[in-house]
Amino acid sequence: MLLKLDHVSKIYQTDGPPATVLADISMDIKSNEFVCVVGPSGSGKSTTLRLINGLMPPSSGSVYFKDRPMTGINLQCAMVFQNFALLPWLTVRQNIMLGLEARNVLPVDAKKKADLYIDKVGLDGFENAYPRELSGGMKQRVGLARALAIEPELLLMDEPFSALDPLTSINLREELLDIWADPNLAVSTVVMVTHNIEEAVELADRVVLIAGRPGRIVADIDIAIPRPRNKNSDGFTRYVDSIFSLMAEC
Amino acid sequence: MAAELTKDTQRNSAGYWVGLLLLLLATAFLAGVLHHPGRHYSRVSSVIWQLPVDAAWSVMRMVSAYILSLAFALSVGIYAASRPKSARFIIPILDILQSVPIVTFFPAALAVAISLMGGGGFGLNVAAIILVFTSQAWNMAFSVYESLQAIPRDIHECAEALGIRGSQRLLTITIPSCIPGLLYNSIVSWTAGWFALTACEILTVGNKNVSLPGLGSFIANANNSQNPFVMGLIGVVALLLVVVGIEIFIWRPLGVWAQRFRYEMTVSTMSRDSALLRWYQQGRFPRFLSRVLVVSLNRMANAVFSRVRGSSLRAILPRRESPGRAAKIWFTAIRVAFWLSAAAVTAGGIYYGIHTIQGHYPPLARFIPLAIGESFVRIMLAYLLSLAWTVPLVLWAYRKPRLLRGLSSISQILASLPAISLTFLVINIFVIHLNLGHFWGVEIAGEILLMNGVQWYVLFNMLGGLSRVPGDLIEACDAMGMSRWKKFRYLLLPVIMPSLLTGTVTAFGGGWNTLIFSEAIQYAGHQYNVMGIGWLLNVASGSASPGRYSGPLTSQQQGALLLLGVGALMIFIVVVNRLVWRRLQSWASDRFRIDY
Repeated sequence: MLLKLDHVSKIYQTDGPPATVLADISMDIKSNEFVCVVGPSGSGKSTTLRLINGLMPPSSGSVYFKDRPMTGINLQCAMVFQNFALLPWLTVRQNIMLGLEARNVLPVDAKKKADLYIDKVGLDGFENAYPRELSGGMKQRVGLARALAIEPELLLMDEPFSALDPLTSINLREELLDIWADPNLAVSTVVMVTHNIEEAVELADRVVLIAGRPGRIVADIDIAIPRPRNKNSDGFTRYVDSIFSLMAEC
Repeated sequence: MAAELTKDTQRNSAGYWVGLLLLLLATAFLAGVLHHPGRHYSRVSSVIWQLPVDAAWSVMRMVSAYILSLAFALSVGIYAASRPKSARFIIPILDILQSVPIVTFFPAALAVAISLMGGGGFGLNVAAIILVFTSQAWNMAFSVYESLQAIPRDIHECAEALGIRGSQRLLTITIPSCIPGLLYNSIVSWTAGWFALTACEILTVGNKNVSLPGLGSFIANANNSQNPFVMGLIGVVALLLVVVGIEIFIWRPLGVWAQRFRYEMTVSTMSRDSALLRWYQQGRFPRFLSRVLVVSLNRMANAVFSRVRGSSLRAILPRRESPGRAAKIWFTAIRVAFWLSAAAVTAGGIYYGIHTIQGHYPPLARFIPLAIGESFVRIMLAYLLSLAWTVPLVLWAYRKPRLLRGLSSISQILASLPAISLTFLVINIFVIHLNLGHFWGVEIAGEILLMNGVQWYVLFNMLGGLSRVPGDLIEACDAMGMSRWKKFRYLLLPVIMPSLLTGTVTAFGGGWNTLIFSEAIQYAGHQYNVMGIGWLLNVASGSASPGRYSGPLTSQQQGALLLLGVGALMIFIVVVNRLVWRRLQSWASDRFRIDY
């Protein structure tokens, strides 16, 4: 088991009464799995992702990574953000090298590795461009390359396609699947948060539905459709419809 | 999870009163040491060929003070931003320091510096640099704190998730995020710095003149030279040349460069270009210079780090949740320094405060409330007059970006001209040529000087606010066929209101500083005094005569008068700020925020 959430709850201490965001979440994620977490806004999807990365501690319960309880930030994870989280004053290559430098990789090697992943996400020729000069899709490619470059055991994605236009996000989704399937690349396990059910069914081995206030796991569905998946097939629409009706019930 | 606090730091009143108390005690401390002045160093020049040397001296002091301010601003700003609990005290104290007229402390502070370091050239220079620092540092520290609060949350999370910590985080995230705000505030600080510099290059301490070679002392001495008008003009032109040169060769290119460090990702903010910046980045000579610098710095760094073993290097670049050891040591040092100086100031303040006033109560002190009142009326008038011409100007110019930029530069440059450098002009016009008599002539001349210390801040801040008016809202108003006045009433005025109020607080601060010069003008061997707190403080430092209000004061009485005057003024200013301006500011920033 790569990752295990064991009866995890999260309560935010705000000015008013404490707000429970997640209640008693338990979830296992195996190596090489592609898991999508879906749910309506405010159900605690993003919070789940931040608990997995260790960006915030759970209020109760524990998170295990490779059977060891986690304390603090898990540096074997990498995160892709909805709004890219690029530093505007660093070039594409410098942004990608950030995580490598934090791991004390020598600058020469960091640059080589950055260029490799710039190539993988199709940004050749933009190594020295600044984020401001890139389109939304290209910015998210930088975000993806930055996460991939540290060769994480677990890739976390927080609504990575929701700030992009539809055509761009279709292309980027296909490339993500290629990268995930590429045996030469280290990343093999992905947890992605999305509110787009079709996107989840298209990409995931498993879809976890979190809903309600506080958020609970409502359903955990294996998507048993071989890849590449046809969005117009009966099987595909059946999955989408059933998840949609489950979500509507909550 | 660093950026969770935003709103309640401004409203924290305990910090304000502690801060005010500490400042009062500091004043008492300084005033108490006043009657132990040491020896005096003096080299005065009013010779034209000395001017480049004088200018170089002044620039040296400004640059040293600025480097100190920068170090202070970054240390304290980063410290406050990473410790919400400390911020609750630090922020109000900074706020008080940036709104009280620091110049009023100068005579006393200089006396302390001289008694500590001796009256030699070195001691005086150090004292001058520290005094200029005190007029520059606070708003810069504020801006660092606010920039760090404004770092988007996902950038923090991204840094945490990637494991970016220690010096890497400082260099790639923390400092770059501060740059745009720090640059804007640096320009403001240099303006205040020039003002303060002229005040501390020539001062009367006890009953002796102290002066350092520099532009400020050149100008001050020009006022009392054989040919005050010509020498005064030369001094102002020299100062203007220096200020304009710095604006063109440093602030402009830096302003274009700093746009890279904004978080908004839109292209339109990048539209400005600077040929000079391109030359700095690509020209042969600047690149040669930077290569020499970088290579030698690199060698130095390598020489140091090759002696440090890998393990200890890793200790400086920590990975754990808590701040690293270097940061911890640094933070502890800051905390210890703060509490030690607070303790010293408290003890010294109480001791000297009692000691100073006891038995030496100066009869002039009963005029303090009247003096503050009259001075306040003068500043209010200068402020209203400033509004009367800046608002129509801004209303007329708001869609002409080049004109606005030009105005902004002009207001920065003219705000750098200290009151003392314009003395020759106003006295010549209103007292000598128009012969308006002692009362009207001096009042009007002083009011003009006062306006120079007030109006540019109003204009400067309004222009800053105007640049934030959203283009689509202007278009929407145009499309509806709104008249110029309606647009001003419903769009421009609300949008610039928060900046206008910030400008008001700054302008009043500038006004109180200017009073020290405008209420006790010395020109061609004459004194032109009017009743006001500025004059009273000049009497207290021995540089103005008490006139018909009192006989000569003993040095103990001067110390007591200074303590009482500065203390009353500070209480007045802090109370007005808390009761009026801060409330208006928080109302305006709530009511006129543009986000929907």
